[in-house]
Amino acid sequence: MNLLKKSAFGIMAAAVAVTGVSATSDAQYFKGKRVNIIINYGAGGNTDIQGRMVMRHMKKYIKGDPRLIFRHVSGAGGVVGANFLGEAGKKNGTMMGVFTIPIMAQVMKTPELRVDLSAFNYVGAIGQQTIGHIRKDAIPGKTIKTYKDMLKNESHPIRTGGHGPTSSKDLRTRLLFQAMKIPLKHVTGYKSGGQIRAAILKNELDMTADSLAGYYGRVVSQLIKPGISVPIWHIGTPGPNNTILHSPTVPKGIPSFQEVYEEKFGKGARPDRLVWNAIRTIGASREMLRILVFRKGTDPKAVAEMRAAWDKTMVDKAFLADYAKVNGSAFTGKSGADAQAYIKTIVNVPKDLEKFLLDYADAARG
Amino acid sequence: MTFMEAVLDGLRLVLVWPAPGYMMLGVAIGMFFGAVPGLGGLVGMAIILPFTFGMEPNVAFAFILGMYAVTTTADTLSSVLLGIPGTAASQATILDGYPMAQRGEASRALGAAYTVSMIGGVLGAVFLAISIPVIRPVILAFSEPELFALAVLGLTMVASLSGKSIFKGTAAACFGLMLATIGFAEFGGVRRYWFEQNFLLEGIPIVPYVLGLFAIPEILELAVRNTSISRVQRDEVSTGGIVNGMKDAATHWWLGIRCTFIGVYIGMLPGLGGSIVDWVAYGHAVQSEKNNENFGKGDIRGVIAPEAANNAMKGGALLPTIAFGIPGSASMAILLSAFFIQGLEPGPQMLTEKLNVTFTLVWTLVLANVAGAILLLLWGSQASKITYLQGHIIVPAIMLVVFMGAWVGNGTLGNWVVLLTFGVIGYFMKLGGWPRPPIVLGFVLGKIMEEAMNLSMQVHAWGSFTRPIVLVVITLIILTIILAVRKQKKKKAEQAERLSAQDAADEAAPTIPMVVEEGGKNCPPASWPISALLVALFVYCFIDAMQWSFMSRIFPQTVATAGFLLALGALFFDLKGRAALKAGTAASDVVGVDKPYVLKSLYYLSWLIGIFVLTLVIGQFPALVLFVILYLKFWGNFGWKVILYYTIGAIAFLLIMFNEIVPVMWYEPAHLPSFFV
Repeated sequence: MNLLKKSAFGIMAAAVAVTGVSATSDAQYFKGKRVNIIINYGAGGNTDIQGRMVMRHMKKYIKGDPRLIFRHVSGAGGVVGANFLGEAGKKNGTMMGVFTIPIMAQVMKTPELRVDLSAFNYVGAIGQQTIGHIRKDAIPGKTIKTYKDMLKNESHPIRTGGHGPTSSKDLRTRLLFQAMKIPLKHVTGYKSGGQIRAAILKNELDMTADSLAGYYGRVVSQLIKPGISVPIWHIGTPGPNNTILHSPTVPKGIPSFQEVYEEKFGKGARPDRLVWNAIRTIGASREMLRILVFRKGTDPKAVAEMRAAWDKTMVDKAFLADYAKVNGSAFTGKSGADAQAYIKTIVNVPKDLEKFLLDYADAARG
Repeated sequence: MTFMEAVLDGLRLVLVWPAPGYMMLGVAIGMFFGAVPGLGGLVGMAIILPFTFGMEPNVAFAFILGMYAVTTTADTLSSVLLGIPGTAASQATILDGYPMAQRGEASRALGAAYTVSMIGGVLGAVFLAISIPVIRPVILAFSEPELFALAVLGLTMVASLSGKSIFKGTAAACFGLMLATIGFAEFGGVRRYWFEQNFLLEGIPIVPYVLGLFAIPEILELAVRNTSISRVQRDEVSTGGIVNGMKDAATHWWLGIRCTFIGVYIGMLPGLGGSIVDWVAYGHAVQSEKNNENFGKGDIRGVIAPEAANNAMKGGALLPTIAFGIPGSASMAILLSAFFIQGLEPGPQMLTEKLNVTFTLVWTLVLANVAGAILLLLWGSQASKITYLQGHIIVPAIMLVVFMGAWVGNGTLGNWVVLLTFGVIGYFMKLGGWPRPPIVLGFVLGKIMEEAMNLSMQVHAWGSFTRPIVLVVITLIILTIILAVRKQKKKKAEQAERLSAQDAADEAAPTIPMVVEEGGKNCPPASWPISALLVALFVYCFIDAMQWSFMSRIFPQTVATAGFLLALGALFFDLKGRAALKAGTAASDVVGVDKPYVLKSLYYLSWLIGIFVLTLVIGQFPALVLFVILYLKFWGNFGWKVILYYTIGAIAFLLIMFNEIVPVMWYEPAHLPSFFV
């Protein structure tokens, strides 16, 4: 057995020598390290493409030039990856999440989300608007050329698509139509945005919404340019005095939801308080759609290093150009400190709003 | 630009340097990613996509598609040689490919597989080219009701994959369908059968699942019996060469062409794709070919059918991606991203002003398929030598590949739990004569069926069943069932005849069959516990689902009800067989349990579980290395010199492969410092 032990130790020692155990220094925390980047959606999706693109640029500002290893831990609308990072991630800064934030799971306190999103250490965040678009022939006998053409429809249900009753897309779509008093027939259970767009192409659905990346990357070529659909609104950015403002990243021709709402019901008009607050909450979550996070308790030096790298990335010209190319729009983002403060304002919703959203989701379960 | 000008310009773009260089690099990477179980084209595409950011479109697509085209050619290596599917698209290949390797005909199987892969891949690309202008109405005619109907049609193939007992085959398929319902059902917002395990929210990962079902039982047999994969010596086989395989491909050209078309059409339909194409082609071969009694025992047609289809599928899969921007699979979603990064918009322009770029894709598929197949044909004979090695020499190496292959996907311990769980299940199923392919088929079709059913009912309601294509498929389903029942009856009569003839022969000289088809064994003492467990499982699944919303429970409860009845039927026959065996009145094909073999197998299984436990204590990398050392010492009884060289090789393999080429997130326990930082 002694020989066995010696051999085993010898081999272990050789392995250590090959891979190299690095000493960390304050100056270059990540020197010689590997950072595992957890992406909470599958390969090839918007989260993956954006995450890889962001990290490719950010890498040059991370002192010590660590090796970045990408891993997809997907499932349950991004919840599985969030749980994985929160529960299994190391605290030495070698595991970082680049997530599409599963915000509604936290707001509604669904049991599958086992970690507190606001307890993560935020390195930064990227905002991205969502644009709703509708088939031009969604209302029989009428051609929808702009959003104004659908405002008076109160009889023919618009066929909309989503992923599941608790998904952000479903809640948002149903809430917006309810607020507008436009009837809808909502179909849920599509695995991806691509599947929903295919259903629109086949005239099985009329309307859905996509992130800017999806809109400019897929929707424009598939549905807008061929003349099948038109954009109708974007959700907008929550502003002061109970408002939802036009996002600076969206062209003027695509109004915010508030602009569309006021077009129909008059300047300053608002729907039911809880419906409006729910829409504002969902709108607010778009301000940090993608997040870069470490788990709770991560070494503050690691967090500080990454935050510094992110701050430099946000003003890097090559990054901004690549971002615009991939997303079709200008970049908006938050620093780590800002994102840390902002997340608390989103997740801490009043009890009545939390209950309203839960009941609203429950009502859609088949 | 005319059509012909676009064709020629597409070819020119592929041949302009550096595109051919990148294409060959892609082919080399693709061969590697296809051959190593667990990697596959998706991982490869995700890894190489960022490298294409600054490339010209023709170079970028030559690189990406060069890699994508050949993964389903190279995956045959491990399917045939080791009985481990290289990628999801070569699962069916093992049914006949591995038995051929056991018979010493690995080279022949590879020769046939690579030949039809090349032809299938090229024809698939040609089909893509000629279909581009006319395919739109076909793709748009297929929606969720059609997908559901096609999935049901796929399920009818279970009859062909059931071996001796239709009860076991169909109950196993229900088990697979049931497993497909595990996880977070987004359409209902319900967590199903997840046992509070985070990794199960995403459902059972398919790679560890299939590796567990098929690879672990084979490794176990190699370890316990210490035989080589080939049960005969090299010089005893006269029909085993690569050239013989190529001749087989020529002999069965019509089967190859039919399966090529199956591959193209299945590839074309978003949502079906790679994981079922090989099964459909295999099922078609079994159902349509004459003299089919050797399928599952090493029939070359069982290799030709899936291998022609899985390469042809890729041309088909490109169609909806190019024409509409609808990706039918994750790989196609990555390709779509590459389009956007290159400033190209999928859609009508790809069929008009950018037609030359589309033909760049077509030509890349053609050239990469040819190049990949030629390289593999040249190398196949050498690779097949692995089947003549002693079991104890190859077991540790295969174990490393299997454990790491199961790990690569998302690098969580849950993957190993799935691997080991289904390894145990697969072993006992094999022992008890339960066919394993229906479980895989049920699993891949279950996900498609439930989703399609849910959406069909919401969008089309009962109108789903009156759509023209659905009616055609329903007719095909009825015909298939009638044919299957007739064939099953005929098969039983033939088996009975053969059995009585064999009885007489065995009295003179008893023989042990070299290869037993899946589900071809009848061993009631090992089978009845599985039947009983399935009965209990289906009852549990039905009851647990009662609390869910209607749409979330309708599918699992329907499957549980059918599964319960079928498992009950299997249990009845098992108990009857067991009683007959005890009374000494059982038929001659009914066998008992080889207890020493089972006990030794269980002991080896405990070693595999030991890897998992050891990983939790000392970390993944040291645990795997330690397993290699201990296995070689205590199972193989090798000397320290051999152990030392082998271990150095294993460490080098792990580090180069999984720390450099496809870097994984190694598991390191929280109580130890980081080893891989």
